[in-house]
Amino acid sequence: MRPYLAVIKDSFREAFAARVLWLTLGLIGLFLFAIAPLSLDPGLATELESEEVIDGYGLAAELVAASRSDEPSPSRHLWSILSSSIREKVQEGAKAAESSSGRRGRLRREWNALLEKPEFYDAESWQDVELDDELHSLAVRDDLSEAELRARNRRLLAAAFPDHIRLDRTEVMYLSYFGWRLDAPIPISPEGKTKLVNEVVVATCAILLGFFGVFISILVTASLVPRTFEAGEISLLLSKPVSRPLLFLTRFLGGCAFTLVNAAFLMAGLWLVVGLRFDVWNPRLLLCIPIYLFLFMIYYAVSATTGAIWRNAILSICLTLVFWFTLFLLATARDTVEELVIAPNRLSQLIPIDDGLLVVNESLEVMQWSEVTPMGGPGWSEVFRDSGGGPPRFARRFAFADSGFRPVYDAEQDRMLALEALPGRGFGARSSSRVLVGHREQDWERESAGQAPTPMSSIFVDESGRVILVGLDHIYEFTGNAVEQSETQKWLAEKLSGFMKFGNDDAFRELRPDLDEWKPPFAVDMDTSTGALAVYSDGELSVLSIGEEGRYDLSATTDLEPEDKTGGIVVIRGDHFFLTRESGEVSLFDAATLKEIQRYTPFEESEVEQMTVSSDGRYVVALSDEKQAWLYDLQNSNDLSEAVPGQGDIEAIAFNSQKELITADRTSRVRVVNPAKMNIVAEYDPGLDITELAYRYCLNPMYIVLPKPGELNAIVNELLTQPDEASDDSSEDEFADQRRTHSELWSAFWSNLAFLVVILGYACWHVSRRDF
Amino acid sequence: MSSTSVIQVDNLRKTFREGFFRRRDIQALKGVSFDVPRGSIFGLLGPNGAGKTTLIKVLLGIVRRSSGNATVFGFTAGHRKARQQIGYLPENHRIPRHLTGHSALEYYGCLSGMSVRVIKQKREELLDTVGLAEWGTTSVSKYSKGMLQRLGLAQAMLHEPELIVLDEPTDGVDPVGRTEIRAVLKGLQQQGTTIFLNSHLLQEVELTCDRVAIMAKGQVKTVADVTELTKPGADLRLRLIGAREEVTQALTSVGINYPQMISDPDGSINVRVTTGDQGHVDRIVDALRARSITIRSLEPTRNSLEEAFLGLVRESTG
Repeated sequence: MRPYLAVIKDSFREAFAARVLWLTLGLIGLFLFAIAPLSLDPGLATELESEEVIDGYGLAAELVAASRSDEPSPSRHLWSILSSSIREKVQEGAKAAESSSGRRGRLRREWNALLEKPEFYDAESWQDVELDDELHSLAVRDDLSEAELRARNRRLLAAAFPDHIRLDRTEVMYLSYFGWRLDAPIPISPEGKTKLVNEVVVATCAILLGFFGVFISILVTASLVPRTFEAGEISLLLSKPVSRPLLFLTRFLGGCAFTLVNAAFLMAGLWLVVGLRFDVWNPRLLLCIPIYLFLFMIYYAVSATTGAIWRNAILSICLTLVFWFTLFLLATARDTVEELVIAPNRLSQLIPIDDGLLVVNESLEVMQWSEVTPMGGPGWSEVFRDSGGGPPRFARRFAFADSGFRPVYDAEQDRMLALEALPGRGFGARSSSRVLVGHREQDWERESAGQAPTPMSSIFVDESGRVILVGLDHIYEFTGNAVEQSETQKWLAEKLSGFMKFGNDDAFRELRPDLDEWKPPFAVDMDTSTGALAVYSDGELSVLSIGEEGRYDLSATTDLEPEDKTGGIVVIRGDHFFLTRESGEVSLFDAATLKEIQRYTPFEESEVEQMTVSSDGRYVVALSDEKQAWLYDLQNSNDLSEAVPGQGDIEAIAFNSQKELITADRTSRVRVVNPAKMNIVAEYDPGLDITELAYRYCLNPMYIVLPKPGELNAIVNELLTQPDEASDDSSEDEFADQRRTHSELWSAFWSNLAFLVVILGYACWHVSRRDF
Repeated sequence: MSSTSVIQVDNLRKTFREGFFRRRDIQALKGVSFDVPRGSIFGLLGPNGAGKTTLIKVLLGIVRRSSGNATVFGFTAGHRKARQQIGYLPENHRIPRHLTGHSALEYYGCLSGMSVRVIKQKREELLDTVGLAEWGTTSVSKYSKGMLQRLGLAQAMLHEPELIVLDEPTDGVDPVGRTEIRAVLKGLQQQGTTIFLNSHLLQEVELTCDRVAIMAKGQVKTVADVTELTKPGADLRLRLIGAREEVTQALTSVGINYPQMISDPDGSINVRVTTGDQGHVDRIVDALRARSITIRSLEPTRNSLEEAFLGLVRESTG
């Protein structure tokens, strides 16, 4: 090892002998010196933030209305102390409130101007407003400083108008430099300081180390390897009893010394400054040193390999920059195509109908197979179209991500039904759900059939044709024929849904037994043959069966063990009650007793995203977030997963009435598999257009094969801003997102490492074979 | 081949491939064979492009041979164990400029497997040997070319190798320095070190080496002891006093036509003649004396290495 340690030592010696190292260390020192006087101090919140003004126009309307009243009230008092110019604006806002839904931040500047008034509080006007003791004592004081006055008035305003002003915090942070406090507060509470500081550190590191640091290091170290391999030096080195590949590798590692010294100095300095000045001692900051070193190593591997082959530092720099730019372009192109073309077209739901199939893509477009499309060949044609406009197609999947849009087929009436979530808007209106219906005979044309009284999460149709809607606190049967709305009512219901309630309650018959409200995380499924419901609610399992007059009765319930209290998807078929777990396992319960009778592990380290069971209860299929399908024959206890085509690329699963498995893969291809014979019995393949071909066979493979150094910045972000573990109160979605993020980050790490190994391996092979 | 040979080369060939689109082969070594005896100072001579540096690089494993055999200390040329026993000073070597004399010796010594402690013990004496005693702590960026050569020689000697390969070791070194380096090499030889010297300075090789190989166009033209190449020749150099016509007639009478004659200011005539056997020399003397020509001196001429070298090279270039 002695010769190789000598090479590494020489690299350090060279790094220290280079003036540029001292220059960069000096610049880093200056930067640390410059930020050292910064501090974050808590102070009173004296301004209303945009997100705190829930409904500024509504508040304006209330003030204007109160101005015509003689009754003392905060609204009337505040109106009286408004300046004329602000009154005009408030009046304009009040008019706008009639035609505009509430949007956060309205008239914020005007409300903030109001806060500075010393006469803001008037005991008679506030007599009906409930104030806590502290605020009450502040209200009567007249010796408050300007900041204290604004902070008090802010709280008084929120206390008087809780529907319009909702304070997030009473304290904010102020940035100070050399003790001089900047006027504008940072809208975070003292508790959020650590997160803010860590986010700023991440951004600083990404710019200073992830970009400039790497760039400067590449420029400075590019000549090291070419110089080593120059004729006069390499002959002397190779005459020594050393191995060529190890000589190259140690020279490469030695070249990293420059970055190591700089990164260590910057990160250790930042750690100290952030710890001493902001009291945020994050030891993970020091872990960023090897991460940024690793980031540099990826680019430097390209530089060093180029240098060993062509022995030219300029060429090394140029090719490294080309490599950098190529990765950037490739990632951008792939992400753009993925977001604009692939993801919107990707099938996410399969809805078998009597003689065919309907599908739903991630843009929430419902489609049916057509042998001739407007494009010419066979493909998917949209039906059940939403004519209401809305966001651009590529943005629909984000805009409606939480809409819970899952259409179901009603064989009895040959129609499709779906729920559409309606957000509550303005004047405290609560959210609700609208039932959409499309009949085949009307070419599946979408129409609104009614608005449920409360938000619903799922819609089912049993074999008898009963339409059941399930929410956290209600189970309705949708009859859809009770009250015939006039055309005007329908128009109003369409336009003002969510803003005002236009529900035809008689179309919704309550079926829920007297139970406590279910809580999220929540999942429900129906056995369409019996109409029984399976419910998972925050660690509790329930089965509800149909009783008298078609109402539901609680037939079984149980709490999961505290240490095993996780669940995701539920499926019920006959006596079988399935529950997916966070761990990726699937529990099988007896539906009558809710005793766990079997536990399956379909996937290692993957979460189940979809699961369903064939109507006869024989086959169960689950889809992982890794796009792998698990097909299991319960009757013969046989894993049939290998027979499922398209493993690793499957996006949706379903069983049709013939107990055949339907899978969607390759964006929009659907295949029907007979699980008994293990053969494909039908295929709906619209083919790939040129963009999808480019994505599937060029962009994506290149992206997978090539390294992803940019992802290392994401690792730093993850490292510094995420808590150690999911806290107890974090939701399952947060936990799953965290696990997915970890998985993706590790995947990026291994991809980068693989690239590093391959390129350095090639360089070693080249060096060992070459004549010098 | 002798078992006492340090280097044994047998039918060694090396072909380089050049060109990116139109590849062409260049034969740098065309079946080279020779031995280097242990303890000798072996010189390698040849015009530019003869393949000398390629041969050295093959022996050190810096360049891979195409065919044939080459062994150093019984190991295949380039073997790590062979390299452990070799000190090498390449032509136009480059010692990193951030090093000092001391740190350069430490660096190269460690590369040869030495410990820093041992290097520190030896480096002062070694720098003194090569005339750099005062320069150990000075950055090599301030060294002259001759000083860099001396430092290069020092690093080659540092680990006390059994074989030292020197490629143009006196390049850039002043005459005094060359004399010192020659003395160092002679001293090493006395300690049993074998020295393989590649130099285009024929006089230096003649003064330093015991044995030489002369290469041209990738082939070894001859391998011989220096004394053998510089043995007395067939020419006689005469210094005569007498009339020029008499001298001419005397020499013509013994079969020497148109001899080279140069008159000195002191009246003597310098003549160089090519002779056959000793009888011919006797007849020349008799003929001169018969004409009362005084023979002030008579001596056989000696071939220089340069003459031998040029003779062989011209012969090969045809």
